[in-house]
Amino acid sequence: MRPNEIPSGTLELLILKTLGRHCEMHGYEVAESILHASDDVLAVEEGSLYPALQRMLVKGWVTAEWGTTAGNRRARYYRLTAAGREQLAVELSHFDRIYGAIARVVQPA
Amino acid sequence: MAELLRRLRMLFNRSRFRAELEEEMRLHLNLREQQQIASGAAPEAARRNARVRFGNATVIRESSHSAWGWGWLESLAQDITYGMRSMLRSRGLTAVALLSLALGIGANTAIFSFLDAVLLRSLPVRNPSQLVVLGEGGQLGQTGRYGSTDLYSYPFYRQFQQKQQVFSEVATLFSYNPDTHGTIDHRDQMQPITADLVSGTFSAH
Repeated sequence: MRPNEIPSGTLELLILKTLGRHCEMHGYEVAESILHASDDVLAVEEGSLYPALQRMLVKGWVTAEWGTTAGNRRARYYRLTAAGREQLAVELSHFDRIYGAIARVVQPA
Repeated sequence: MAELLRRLRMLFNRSRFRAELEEEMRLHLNLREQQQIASGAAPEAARRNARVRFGNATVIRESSHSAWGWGWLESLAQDITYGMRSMLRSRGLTAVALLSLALGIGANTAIFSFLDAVLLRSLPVRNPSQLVVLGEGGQLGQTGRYGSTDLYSYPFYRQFQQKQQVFSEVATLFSYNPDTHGTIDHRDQMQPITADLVSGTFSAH
């Protein structure tokens, strides 16, 4: 494993949580938010956000709208839908269950 | 259902989808570049760094596109167009192949239709499921047994016809059908035929 590689399947959780925390963001902002929120540990391969966002657009977990950034550039802003919030809850509980179990297993006896 | 509608909308706006994704990706790279330069990197190093952190753009474009699930359709369309182009390029070969197919399919269809009408549908009866045959017949008009239920006598048939109340009409058949020679349709030559002796009511219904 490369150092600080995100386990597969958790990228969507991270994106959903980030969008849930902030109203709307474009791709770069999501990447930066994940980086900062994790104290620079989780450096996602930034391009991989876009296929993930497209998958979430297909499934209806997010919607996208073109807007203008602070620096006056055109950017696509994503926001969470109701279905997206439900999915976030599902994934969070799944995450807690799995990683809680892993933590219990690797706990120093 | 809503997902299908979204996917359909994308299908009809593929070029716009590609353009928008391109713009999005370009913005991301530029922003990362700017951030790098702001942290003190040289412009060339900043651009390289941004690209490295972004990842393989082609792969990303492909997986974004395939997320909508129309890859198979586009492949199919491309293959069909390629096939058409090849066929139009070698017209002679295409013409011969088409002609062979047409002859083969046409001839087979004609033969089948003919046999279908003659052989398979030879009973133009209104309710074939209501047709019942009693007995087996085919014993050259004689049976040695009394009370045979394979072959019925003519007087029996007449009584049955008059007294029965179940069937709309009764006819006789299969009682005497030898293989013999005869002519059909006023043809010149005799040919082997199988004849059947039937009552007049046979063709009533």
